[in-house]
Amino acid sequence: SPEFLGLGCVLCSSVEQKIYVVLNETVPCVRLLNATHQIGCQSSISGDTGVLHVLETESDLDWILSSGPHPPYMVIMETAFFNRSVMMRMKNSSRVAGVAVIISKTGLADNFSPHTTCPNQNTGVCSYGSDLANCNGTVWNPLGNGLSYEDFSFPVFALKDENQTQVLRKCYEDHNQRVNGSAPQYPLCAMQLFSHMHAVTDTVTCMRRTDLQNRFSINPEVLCDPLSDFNVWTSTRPLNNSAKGHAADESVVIAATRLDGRSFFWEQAPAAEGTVSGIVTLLATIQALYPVTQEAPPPRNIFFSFFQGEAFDYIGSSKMVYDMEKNDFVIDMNNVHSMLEIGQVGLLSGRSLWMHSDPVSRQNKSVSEMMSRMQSAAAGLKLTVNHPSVSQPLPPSSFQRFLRARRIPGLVLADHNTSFTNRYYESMYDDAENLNVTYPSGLTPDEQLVYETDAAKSLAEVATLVARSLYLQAGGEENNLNNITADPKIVAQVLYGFLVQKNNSWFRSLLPPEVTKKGVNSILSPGPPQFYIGLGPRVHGPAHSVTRFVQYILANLTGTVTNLTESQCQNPSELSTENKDLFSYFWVSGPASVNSTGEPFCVRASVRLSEAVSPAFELLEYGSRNYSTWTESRWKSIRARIFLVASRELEMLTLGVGVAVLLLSLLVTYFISSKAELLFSSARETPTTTY
Amino acid sequence: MITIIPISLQQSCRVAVLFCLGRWQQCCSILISSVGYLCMDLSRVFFTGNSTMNLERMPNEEKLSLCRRYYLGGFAFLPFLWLVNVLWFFKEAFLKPAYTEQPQIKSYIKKSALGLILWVAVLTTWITIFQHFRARWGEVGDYLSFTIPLGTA
Repeated sequence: SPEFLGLGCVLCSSVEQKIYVVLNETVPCVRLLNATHQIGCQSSISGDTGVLHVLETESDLDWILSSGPHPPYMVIMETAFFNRSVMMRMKNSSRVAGVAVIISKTGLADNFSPHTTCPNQNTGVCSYGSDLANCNGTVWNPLGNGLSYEDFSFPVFALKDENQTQVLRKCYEDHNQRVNGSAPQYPLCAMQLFSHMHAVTDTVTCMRRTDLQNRFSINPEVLCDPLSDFNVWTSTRPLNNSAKGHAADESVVIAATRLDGRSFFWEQAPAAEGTVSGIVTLLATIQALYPVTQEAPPPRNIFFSFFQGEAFDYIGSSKMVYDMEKNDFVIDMNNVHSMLEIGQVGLLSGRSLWMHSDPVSRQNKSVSEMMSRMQSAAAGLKLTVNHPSVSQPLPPSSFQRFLRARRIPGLVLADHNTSFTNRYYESMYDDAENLNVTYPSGLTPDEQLVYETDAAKSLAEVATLVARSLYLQAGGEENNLNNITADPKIVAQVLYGFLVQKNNSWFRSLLPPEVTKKGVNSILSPGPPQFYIGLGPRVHGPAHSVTRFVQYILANLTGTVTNLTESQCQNPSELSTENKDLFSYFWVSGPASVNSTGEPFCVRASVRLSEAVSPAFELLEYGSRNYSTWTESRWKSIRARIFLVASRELEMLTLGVGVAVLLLSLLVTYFISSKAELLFSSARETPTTTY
Repeated sequence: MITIIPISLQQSCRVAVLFCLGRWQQCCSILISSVGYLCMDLSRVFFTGNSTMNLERMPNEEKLSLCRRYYLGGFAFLPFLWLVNVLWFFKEAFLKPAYTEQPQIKSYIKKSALGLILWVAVLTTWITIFQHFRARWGEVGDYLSFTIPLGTA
């Protein structure tokens, strides 16, 4: 009954509201599929119900898995117990109905990475022999426990909201707690989790069933969607977007980084060290290089690219390479001179960076030339760049997809020598704190926005190094190098926007007015952005928030302000002075002043989006071994609620009594109807009529 | 990805065969059975001229012709006709005192019962096999199915 739950319910008129307490903020784990497997979590179609039990000690684990008298249990797992051994024991037990993991920093272990030990091991460079492939040489993520890639048959939710966790704890303490070691009595507090996923087995099966449904069924239903979004690219010299294939007289140095991350739970990926460090560095590099490349342009063009979907077998980079090989992109592989990728660069130890290279292409002279250029660029700064041992393969990086297509010289810059320094790789704990981005207390949001943390200064230095190396690699003069410096203020602003709060004044000034004015569901909702790739514009509205932010930041950093009106900005091809093939035009809000919102204006920049969907879905090879085949399942509803349950015996008793009353009433009705004349005879003579 | 896949001729023939095979279970059975039963009902009313089914008031020749018609109709993949035949005429054939048409009615009932048992056996076997092995058959299982359950293999 509702009084026990002790929660205010002012206008409870419906019975359902009196019984159930709905949990509003749910963070589920969903099912993802690839060519051969399914990973993630699944609940039954009508939800999984279990008696709540908080897992705080080893004896609780014992209670849940063997000795507790009220299985199945819905486990509320303290942070310290969310590891591989406990989850595997839960997976193999039939007494666990589901798990709700408390996400907090208290009790967090020293490391936690649910990713595999060897990320993207099957879709990288093919040419490594058995001594280097599959991380036989170097294990990149040794702290990885592989939980994200397991298949659970019960729902797993995350509890991020402290108030909601309190509600659950209170319910548990009021009803389910053991008193003096004896089992608690009914009624008990129970939780029901709904996260029924539609897709099964693998992508091949799921896409086949989707096609069958769409062709032959009366009620077509899509079962899964491929992961897709957009890559963002720009270049120091504008490239003609309508001319696809080989670009004449263009020799291009590619500077790349990744845009995405992931974690065990759906749409949660703060990805600070794993992704944001690279994005911020590349943005600052572009900002540092831009003025110099306009004044004293180097012989080669520099092409900057942010690849989306790299966590899922290199979706974005494989698509770009595929387009280049098919002559469907502004440049092709013959245009590429070399490549520099920025990996995880946030946690430098002792101011030293590592230039990772491929053992096979190390033999090529151009790679050593590239390394020496980088070292000479670092000489002027306080950083040192080293190269790891010659026999070490490349870490997981987009550069591996380019190497798969053609042996181009290239380097991957990282802060780690052998394995990652990131102890929370691809997990929910890879946040601002992991990157040492902390602000002194007492600052307003606007002050925090421009406060230069140590991390910001360090990343700005890395960006200066990268910018100078790129300038040298593109054939620029050495004496221009001192003019290339990354601005720590820009780095601090981007770090704040990507790690702490995306709804800040700078981001608002960069984005179009219609985005800044939107309500709750806009990309400017409070909090940091999440870097999970998502399902792209066909399913989820306009492009992913991070893609949009990077696009507009680039427009701000590299674009020129024009005095076009809004309608001219939407259709610049009507004007002869503007060139839609070379540039994109963005209508942005402009900086807001104290009294009013800013005056919008039109920015012209050579920033473009290119589609990042795996070539496997274009070629319709859903079982492909060469390309990413990751899809995300669809679902109807994901929700959670708690309520009190009665014992089985009480339920059976209620049913029994009901059935008995039914039979009794049938019996009584039969007797009354057979003796009707006796019971209801009247004194008057009524004429009988036959019907 | 919600587009019609262009598949080769060979593959499309295979898909068509499996599709028809799967759909036969549902479409033909629904169609033929409903049409068949409807025809039987209409023909009964049309030929016997009365719309009531009270066997007490029927002369014996009419009973025999009705029994024969139901027996023959069951061969058109309509096993329910045989079931109705058996249930309806059982009392007539075995529990009533003998009359001239009764031996023939008895033979029809026995043959209907035999056909019915055969149908039940075949359908039960096929349904059991299908339910058990559909997930394991992968592609073939999907093409033979009318509705595929969500979220389970």
